[in-house]
Amino acid sequence: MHRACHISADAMAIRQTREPSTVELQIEACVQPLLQRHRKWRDRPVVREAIERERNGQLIYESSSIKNTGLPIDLSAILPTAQVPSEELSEDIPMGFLDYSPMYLTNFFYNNLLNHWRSIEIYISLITTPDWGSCEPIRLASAVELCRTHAALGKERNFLTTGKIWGLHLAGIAFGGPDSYQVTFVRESCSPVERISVDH
Amino acid sequence: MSAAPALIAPLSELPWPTLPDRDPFHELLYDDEANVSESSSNESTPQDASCVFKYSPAPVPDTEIRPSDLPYFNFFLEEMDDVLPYANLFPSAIQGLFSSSIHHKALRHSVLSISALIADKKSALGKERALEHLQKSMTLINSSLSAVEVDEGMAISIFMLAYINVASGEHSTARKHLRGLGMVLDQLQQDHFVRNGGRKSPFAMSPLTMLVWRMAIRMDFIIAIIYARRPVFPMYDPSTLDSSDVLELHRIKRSSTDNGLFPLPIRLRVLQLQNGHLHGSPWII
Repeated sequence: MHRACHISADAMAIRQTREPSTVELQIEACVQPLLQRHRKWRDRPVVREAIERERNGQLIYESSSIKNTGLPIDLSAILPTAQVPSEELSEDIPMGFLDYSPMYLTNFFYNNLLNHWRSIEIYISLITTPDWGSCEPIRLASAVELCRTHAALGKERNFLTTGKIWGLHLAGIAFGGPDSYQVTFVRESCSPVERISVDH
Repeated sequence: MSAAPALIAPLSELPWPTLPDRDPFHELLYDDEANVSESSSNESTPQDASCVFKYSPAPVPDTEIRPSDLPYFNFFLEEMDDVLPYANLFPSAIQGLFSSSIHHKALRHSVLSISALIADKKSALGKERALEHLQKSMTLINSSLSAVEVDEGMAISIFMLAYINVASGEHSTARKHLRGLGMVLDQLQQDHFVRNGGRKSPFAMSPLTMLVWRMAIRMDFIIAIIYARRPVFPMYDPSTLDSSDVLELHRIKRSSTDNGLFPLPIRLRVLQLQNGHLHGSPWII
């Protein structure tokens, strides 16, 4: 993030002082190496391992949902028992974001870092395209995943840090604000899961 | 129905401080000769854990610390790991900061100031004590700077002053302190470089100061984002490192492990909280 802030300051300076015809190419040339280096974080062995664990955890969570629906497939029977979520956690139904399917998280520490990583990705994309609500697929996908993860963080979600607030703020910028989405908060009494009703 | 536990305990309920058995950074902050000169003739062997504290430099006497200030030390030890960034991930950091403050007057006043600011805000006592200690710390730092006496305790003190500024909404002053901190850190590295015969060393700075440096970088980019300004600290670019620098980073990592700032407590803490853990370094710089 520190590096991104420097590049962002460079971009601001370039936009103020140089010819508009060449400005965006120059900024793009600064941002691309930063973006590439940023994305390498997910290639680190320790992060790849965490991604795999999260994938397995989600699979088990989904399989337990299938079991509840009465379908004959129960993946937890064929997956390693060490990966099965504890009883305490399985009773904790993760909160969902809008109509996206809820995520089941196995490692809050990793998922907090991942959301921080996503917020940096959104921030970097804003250096080249500093418009809120622009339909950049990667930025929008990062924002959605950030919110899904934040919703699923459970108790951890309530301990707001600067990084979390900043990430949610950037997600809001990616979504485009009230002109793009009319957001109202509705608590559905019949559902155990708090949801946000969106009219757009 | 019992009330939910308070996030930060009231100051009046906090016990008086007990000093940690050992200052884990005294070997790095103070040379052996200084320790020998302050040791008594009938000292025990260093292996005697009960006497380890004797080998640290004597606590600096300070008549300006009132008995009513003592609970602020306890507040610092009890609560600051939820306040300072990364401190919850490096559980030894807060104790290390406190231990270092025993031997460093300016740092001690910074510790008291930051504790008083947060603790008194919770109990609506105002900023009076915090500002008093802040003033004392700044006076001490200024006189050290005038005498060109730069040490790690001073660097940490300046970081705390910057933190107090951020907490008080004085971001412009915080940036000035961060700029000063950057200069002090550069000077410390340069001093060690000269002392070490022009060779880089993983012992140029203690792991605690390196962690505080990292906290300062985080503070720097947060202020930069809020005010749309360029960060004060220069950009760290790993692509500019040559092979000897990379080797040096590995040595520094090993040095950190040897000196108490190691990832094992993080893993244990994470394991207590959830059923997943990570091996290796997932940090985003």
